[in-house]
Amino acid sequence: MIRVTNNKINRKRIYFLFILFVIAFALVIYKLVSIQYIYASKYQSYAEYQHMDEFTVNAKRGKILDRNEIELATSLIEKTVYANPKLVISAEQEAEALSKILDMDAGSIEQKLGSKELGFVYIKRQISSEVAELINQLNLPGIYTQNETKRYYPQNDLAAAIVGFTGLDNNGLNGVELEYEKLLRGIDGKYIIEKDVYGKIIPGSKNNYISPVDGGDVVLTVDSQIQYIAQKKLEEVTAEYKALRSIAVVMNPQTGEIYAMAGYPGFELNNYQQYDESLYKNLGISFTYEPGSTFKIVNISSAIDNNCIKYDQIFNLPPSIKVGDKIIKELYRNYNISYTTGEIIKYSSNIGAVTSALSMGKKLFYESIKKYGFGEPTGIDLPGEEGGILYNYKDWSASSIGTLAIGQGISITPLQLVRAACVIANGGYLVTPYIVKEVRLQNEKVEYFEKKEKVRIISETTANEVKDMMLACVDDGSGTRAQIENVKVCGKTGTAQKANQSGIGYSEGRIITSFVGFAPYNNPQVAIIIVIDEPHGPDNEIFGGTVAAPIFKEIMNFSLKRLRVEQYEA
Amino acid sequence: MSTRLAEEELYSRKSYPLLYLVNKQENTGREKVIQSRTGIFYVCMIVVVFACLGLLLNIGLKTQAINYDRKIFENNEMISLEKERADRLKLKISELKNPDRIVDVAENDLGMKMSENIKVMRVVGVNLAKEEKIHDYIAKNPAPELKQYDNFLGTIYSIKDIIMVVSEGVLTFFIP
Repeated sequence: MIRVTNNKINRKRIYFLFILFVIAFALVIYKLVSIQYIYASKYQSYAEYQHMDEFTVNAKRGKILDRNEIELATSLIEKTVYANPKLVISAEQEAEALSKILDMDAGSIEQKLGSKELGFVYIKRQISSEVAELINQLNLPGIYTQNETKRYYPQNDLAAAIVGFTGLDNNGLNGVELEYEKLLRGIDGKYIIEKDVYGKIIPGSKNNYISPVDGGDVVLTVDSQIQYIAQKKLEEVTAEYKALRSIAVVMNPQTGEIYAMAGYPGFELNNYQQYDESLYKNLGISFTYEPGSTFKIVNISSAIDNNCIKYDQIFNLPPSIKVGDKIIKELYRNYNISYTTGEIIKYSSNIGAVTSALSMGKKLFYESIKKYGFGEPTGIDLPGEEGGILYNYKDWSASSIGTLAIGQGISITPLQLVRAACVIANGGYLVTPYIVKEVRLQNEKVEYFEKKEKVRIISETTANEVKDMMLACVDDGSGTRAQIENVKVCGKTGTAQKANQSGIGYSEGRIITSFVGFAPYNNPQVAIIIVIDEPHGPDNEIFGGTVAAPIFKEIMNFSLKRLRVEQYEA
Repeated sequence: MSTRLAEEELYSRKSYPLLYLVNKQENTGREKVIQSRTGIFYVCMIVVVFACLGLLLNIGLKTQAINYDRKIFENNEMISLEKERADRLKLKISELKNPDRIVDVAENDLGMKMSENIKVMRVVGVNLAKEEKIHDYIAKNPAPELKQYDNFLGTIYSIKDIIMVVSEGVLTFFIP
């Protein structure tokens, strides 16, 4: 009886143990399934995080070259010292050792190394390979060096605003460096490695290397020698006339290529941090001003092209004219005179220009100005371009047409005006200026972008007629100081009063002198604009024809020689 | 045979090695069987040896691969160092080409000045045009003796030249 009872108890125990075993086994199975199947991806990523590591291999930033392959920006590999504070054993001793080599304050290094909560801190960036080698030889725990590219600008202040600069992380911050950032930067590579439990690289394990794709080289249309002469001449004229600033843009009127775009004062690319940020601006595309008389070429060409006036028409011009509530006067004339259309440009007659604009009427005049591209960016491949201000004719006051006729009440950039002069030079086409000639990717020469088709905006006859007027202006008009021996130069002077800071009225003594023109007459190859902001000197000496024209002449003369343009006219 | 004995025999069979020799007992007239697994043993040994060799070979190859990787890495390092050096030289050249520096040296050190009288003009001259034509012709029609080195048979021409030179040398050496 006892035996039977024992057997029952034993059997119950066995059943209990069996069930317990089954439950335990089921739990194990569940855990296995959850690890291996349900949460597999999560654990896999944990494991990869622990075992795999990734190093970025920086792509080399592409070069920026001028049209003759002169390097304007290049990259060199420099070393950067960084630390993993968690692995640093003695922050004090290591900081002491590093400070001697890096010529840094030991205290600041110690502070960085003491930040144990961080896994990565920069000690010093962009040091030479020799210094990095000295640090590597010390074999300090938690201190490492890595390659980093540093940007150099061998021409320093030459075309600084065009080329632009990069920050410490090699990101383009200005100019071409910013505009073509993606292309210049390339694609960084990766080195994926497998680590053991101690964090050491397992040699021969499934290390994966994705090589970086170096950035492409950007070739500019800029000629560094023309750019140099432009900058030098601007510096001279600014110093001579104690001007606020001066600007020069040199371009090809047939294609829109920019040969030079200079502004003074400028800055040095290798020490750009030491200069005021306002100097970083590319004045050729960002400085807006009222053009004054240089704008008359737009006015007269539009009037001729719209058959509102004739080329050989004679105008009887009074010394002043009332337009709306404003009286517009001639500068030095207080008597009536008869001028042909050509003479309006030649002698820069305000009343003649107003008469021409009035003949078109508000709408037609506004539309013609728009056709020349004023009031909107030219589309040049540079960042920070201003579009200027051109109000819609519906918003014009009664006097607006008169002020616009003489280049007031409109805000433009130097590039917009030289582009308008190009229309006259190339027979009536509006070209889109561009600064990048080509881009070279992976040793293949690639024409980077499709050049925008030039658009005819005035007839060839009109363009040629205005060209003749501009030639006369230099030959025997207000721009005689732009004459070059054996070269027929076309041009137009401009002397504009500057608007007050309040925007109401114009201040005496604050003027902008300018000169826009092109050469040679028969086949214009170079168009230049010179703008001098607030030159100082005797009142009867400060004009576009006296301040800006001589600089125009010198830059034009050099450019024609440099570009091997045949100077002798047939 | 009782169960106990049977169990003992089974135990002894399990405990003792299967490979053993037994003296031939002639008197009994019964021949004792000598159990031996020598063949399998050698096969196993060979398999183990080959497996070890394979393993060693594998390790050796892996080591060699790592060594090659290291060499490639070192060579790449050397290449990048040389490239870096070349880039530094290019940078130096670019700095030397700076117009500001050139003009400064020319004006201040060499006493030169910017010329105002350089003119670019079209050169019109019969003789010059003829010369240009000749240059163009030469460029477009290279001499046949130069051309022959440029094609597939160039190697043969080279060998011919070498033989000529060597034979001349030999003859010069032997002929007093």
